Amino acid sequence: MTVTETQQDVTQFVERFESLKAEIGKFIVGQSDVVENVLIAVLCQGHVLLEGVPGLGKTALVNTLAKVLDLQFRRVQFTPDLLPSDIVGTNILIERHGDKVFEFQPGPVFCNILLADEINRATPKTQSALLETMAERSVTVAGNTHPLPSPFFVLATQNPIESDGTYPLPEAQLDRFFFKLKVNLPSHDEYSEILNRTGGLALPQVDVVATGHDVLHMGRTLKQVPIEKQVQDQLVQIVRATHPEDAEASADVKQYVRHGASPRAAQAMLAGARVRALLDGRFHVANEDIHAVALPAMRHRLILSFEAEAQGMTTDDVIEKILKQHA
Amino acid sequence: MQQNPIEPHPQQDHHDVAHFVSQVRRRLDLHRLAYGACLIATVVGILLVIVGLIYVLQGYRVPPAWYPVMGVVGMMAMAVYAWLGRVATNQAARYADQFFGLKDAVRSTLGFAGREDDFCKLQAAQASQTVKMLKPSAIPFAWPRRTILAGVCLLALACVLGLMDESQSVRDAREQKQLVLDRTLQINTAVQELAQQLLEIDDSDLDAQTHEALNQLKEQALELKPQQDMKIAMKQYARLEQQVQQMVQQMDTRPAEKMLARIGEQLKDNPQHRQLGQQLSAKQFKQAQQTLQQHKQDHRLSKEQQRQALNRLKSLSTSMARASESASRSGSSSSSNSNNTNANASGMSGQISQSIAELEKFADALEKAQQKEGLDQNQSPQNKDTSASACKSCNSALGKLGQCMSKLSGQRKLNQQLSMMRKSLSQCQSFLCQSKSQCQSLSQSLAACQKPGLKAGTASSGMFNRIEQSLMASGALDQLLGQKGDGTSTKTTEQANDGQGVSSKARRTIQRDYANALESFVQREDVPVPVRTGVKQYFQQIHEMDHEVIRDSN
Repeated sequence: MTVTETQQDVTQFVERFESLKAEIGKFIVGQSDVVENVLIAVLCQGHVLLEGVPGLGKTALVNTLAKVLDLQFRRVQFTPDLLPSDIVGTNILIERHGDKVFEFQPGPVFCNILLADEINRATPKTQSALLETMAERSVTVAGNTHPLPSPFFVLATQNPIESDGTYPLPEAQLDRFFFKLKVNLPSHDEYSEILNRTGGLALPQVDVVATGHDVLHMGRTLKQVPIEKQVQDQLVQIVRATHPEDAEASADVKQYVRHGASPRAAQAMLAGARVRALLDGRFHVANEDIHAVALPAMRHRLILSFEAEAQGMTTDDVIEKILKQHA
Repeated sequence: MQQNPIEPHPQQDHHDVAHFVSQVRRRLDLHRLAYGACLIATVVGILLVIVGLIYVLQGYRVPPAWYPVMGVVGMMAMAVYAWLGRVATNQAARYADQFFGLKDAVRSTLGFAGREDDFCKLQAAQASQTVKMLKPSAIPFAWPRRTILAGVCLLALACVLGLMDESQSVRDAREQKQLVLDRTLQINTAVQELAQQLLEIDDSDLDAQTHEALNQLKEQALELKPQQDMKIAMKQYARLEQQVQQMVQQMDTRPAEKMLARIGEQLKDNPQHRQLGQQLSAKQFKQAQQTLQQHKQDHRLSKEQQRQALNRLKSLSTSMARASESASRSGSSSSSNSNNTNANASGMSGQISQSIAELEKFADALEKAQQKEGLDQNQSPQNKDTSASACKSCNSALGKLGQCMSKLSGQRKLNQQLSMMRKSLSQCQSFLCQSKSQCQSLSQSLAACQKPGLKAGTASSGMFNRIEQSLMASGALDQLLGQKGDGTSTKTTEQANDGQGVSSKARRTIQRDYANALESFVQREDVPVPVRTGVKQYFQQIHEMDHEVIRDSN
């Protein structure tokens, strides 16, 4: 590949990203940060955990994303009685040519985009069924491993205010989410725009802007974006600064953090920063890119101490302090 | 980026970025140097002010050398500051990224140097394009105005302090030090000359112990050093004076002189020995020794001549023995009063007494031998030998007595010189203590010392006038009149109405007043006993010494 072709790839990357964002924006009012970060995660082939109160358009966002990418979309409403086999599939006994044989019946997880709605309502057993699918992008049933189609993304949602009948996601599963995005309430103007768009007879229509192949190609492009050694060191320092056992950790981290971010967080931050660098028209990762993706990449990977929870501290507060120290 | 395709030229792009970084680094170095210069100038100003205040508050003038020294130190500090604080390339790149909002473009370009992948080439080209539009001179420098203001004020204050003159007290102290140094130099020379004069005395009559003491004294005189400190100088002269005083006391010849004076008075009554008596009274011991030698006996003379000579000797020895005995009695009674009579002095008078007693004894023996020889008709050689032997013994006793007198004469001369030296040292200390305005020359002080004072009550106003006239004739008016307008005139005669006439106060009264003052002092209970005793002894000594000197000078 020549320099010119690379430059064209980058140009195409940015144009597709912008068109995806614009197309989604036709249906989703506001939430531009959320949309952008979802797209970044998708391009990095990462899974996203969307957290927000009901009615903010989380499911609509995922639906729209599936439409504009022309990808196979499945939705699973997580409930306490949901079984793992309901998600990943199961072997069923069927009669074929007079013989009764077990045949694998794929679950809803066999798609390109899986919406795991209210994922924290399922039991831990069911939640953990997603572990293999999210990490390995394959399903193993009765000793047989079945690969999932590519690309494969899990977009999960959870309600932060309802705690009755919910099961908090285990740390291992949280760590497998690329980003955790908080969907905030829309502003006044956004409310009005939502009403305008959805109050009529016809809903806004979105078009296919890119395909799964394009997403994979864009993913390959962004992985070539270089990062300078010192900038990378800063990234590592930020991640290490979240560990209370680290010698250079701040007093706040030692006091409020029980467990720091994993190496997956660093990987997610680097990938996200690369996309942001390209979107900013640069061919290198800057410190600003790392700071921009630090919150969504690390907020679900930190485990706060009881003291922090008692004082109303959130992981965002801790991460922001760390970012200030490493500005 | 999308509208303007980038054409990478890796080497040129890297060079452009590196050049930009070096320009930024130079500018930052320059800023740092300027800031360091301001800071160091302020620190130098603070140090100079502190140094200046230390000197000025103590009254001294600030040595001008401090200013160039601090300037050089400041320059060196600035050089060290600039060298140690050089901005590294990475720092400059990071600063450029932050200042120009380049989002780590410069830093990344430098970091990607050597990498051949397309993204790195594109990144370098993009950074190169960006930095070409930037000017490092746009980096502003905020002059530390407060530091500059403080530095200028402090340096100005330091200059003002440097221009301030030293205080009067410091000037006086320095002049005083120089004065003391000059005077100690003069005094040392004078004292060493006096010590040399001591060694030049005819020492044939002095014993080895005295020689050794004199040599020690000279060595001490040669060891005197010029001093700037008045106290130290005074101490060294007082120490030498004390040693001279001890030596004077050790060689006290007064008991022997008194004894010989009494003998002389006794002999004056005898016409045959009047000359010797006068010589002894006048303390002309050398002449007295020669006169004594005239009484030597010679057995080869005729019998008549021998008899006459023996008679003279006999009368002489008897008179001397009688006077010696009475002097010894009075001497032993006086020695019980004064405890400081030394062994040397009593030894000298004892030797004289012993020699006189031997002379008398041998004269008696000679007389008996001559009588026996006269009665011997046979002229036996045995009697002649006895007579010759007695004659020899008499001569030996005479010689011994003469030697004692000669030794006494030598010691007396030495004692006078030592007394003179002691007084000179005392005068030297007075000379050292005098202020510049009151100061006589050292030669005047020493001349005054060599013109001995008179015992209290023994002089008349007429004598004072004579001394005054002689001093006026010699031109030493300062001593008489003092410096005009500075202190009281030394011309005022004690208790006289106008200082010119005859004192209306009887000398006995003056003496009694002095005595009363001394007595009242030595009886004061608040004065420590050693001090009282010392004062008493001091006055006794100078009283006796001055008395002797006056008599000698007369």
